[in-house]
Amino acid sequence: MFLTLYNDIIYRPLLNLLVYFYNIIPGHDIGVVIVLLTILIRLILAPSFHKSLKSQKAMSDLQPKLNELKEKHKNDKEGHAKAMMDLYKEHKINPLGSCLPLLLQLPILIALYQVFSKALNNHLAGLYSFVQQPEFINPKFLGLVDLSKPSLAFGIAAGLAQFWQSKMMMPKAGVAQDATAKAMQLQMTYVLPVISVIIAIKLPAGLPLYWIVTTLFAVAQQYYIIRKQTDERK
Amino acid sequence: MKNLLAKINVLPAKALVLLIKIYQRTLSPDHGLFKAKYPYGFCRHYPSCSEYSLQSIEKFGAIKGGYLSVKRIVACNPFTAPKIDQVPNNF
Repeated sequence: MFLTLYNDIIYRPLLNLLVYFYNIIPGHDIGVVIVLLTILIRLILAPSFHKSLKSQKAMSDLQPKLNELKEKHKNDKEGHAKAMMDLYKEHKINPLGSCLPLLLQLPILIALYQVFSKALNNHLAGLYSFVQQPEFINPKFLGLVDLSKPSLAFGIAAGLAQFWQSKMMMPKAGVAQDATAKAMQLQMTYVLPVISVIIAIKLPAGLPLYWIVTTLFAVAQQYYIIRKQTDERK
Repeated sequence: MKNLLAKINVLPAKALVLLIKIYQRTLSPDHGLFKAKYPYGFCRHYPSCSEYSLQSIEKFGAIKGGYLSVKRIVACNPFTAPKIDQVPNNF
C-alpha cells in the first residue's frame, strides 16, 4: 500500500514533470532539466523558509542563555529540555525543528533521485496520457558531459560543495560543545565530503549534478540567513 | 490466545527497533551524523520522536507502540507547543 501511494503521489508526478520540462525546454537538455527541477522542488519544500529565518534569528539572540542552560543541566536531559521549553515560551519563540515535515520531505527527495536515475537510462514507464514521450532522452549536458556515465569532475565538485556547506554551518566559536559534539562536527566537515566523492564518482554524473545543485541551494539559503543576521545587528 | 498474540507481536517490533536504531545513527538530526548542526536539539518535544518511538515499541510491541509512534510524529509539527512527553506506563 505504501509503495503504491509513493508511486502515485510522489514518483509519477515528478517523472512527468521531468519529461514535460524536457519536452518544452529549448535544446532539450536533461542536465538543465535536472537543475531546474531540483531548484523547483527545493523552493516548494521551503515554504516555512521565512518562518525558520525568524526563529533562527531569535535563537541566535538567545544563544548565551541557551548555553547557560546547557551548562546548568549537563547531566539532566529532561530538566534541560524543560528549561529550554520554558525559555521559548517566555520569549514566544517557535523552535524550528519538528519531525513531521522532515519525514514528509524524505520520500520526495528520494523520489527525485530515483526519477533522475531512471530518466538518464530512458526508463520512462508511468507517463500520463497528456505528456508526450520523447523518442530518446539525450544524456548530454550542454553538449559536453554524458550524464548517464560517471564523471570524476562532477563527483569531486559534489564533495567540494558539501564541504563548503558544512564549513558554513559550523557553530561559531563560543558555543558550548562537549568533546563528542566536536568530534562529530569534524567528522561531518572533513570525512563526509570524502565519502561523498568516493560514492559520487561511481554514479551516473546526473546524480552528483543533482547533489551539487541541492547543496548549493542550501548554501545560498544559509548565506542569506547569515547576512540578514549581521545586517540586523548593525 | 493472548500468548500467541504476544509472540506475533515481537518480531515486527524487533525489526522496527532495528530500523529506528539505524536511523538514529545516521540521518537523525537529534542523534545521528548531523547532530552537530543542531546544538540545541532538533525535535521540539522531549524525548525526541525516534527515542519515543523506540521506547514505546519496546514497551508495547509493534501495533500499539507503532500507533503511539505515529501519533507522536504527527504531533511533532510547527503548530503544536513543545512539551515533555514520556511514553505512558499503560496503554
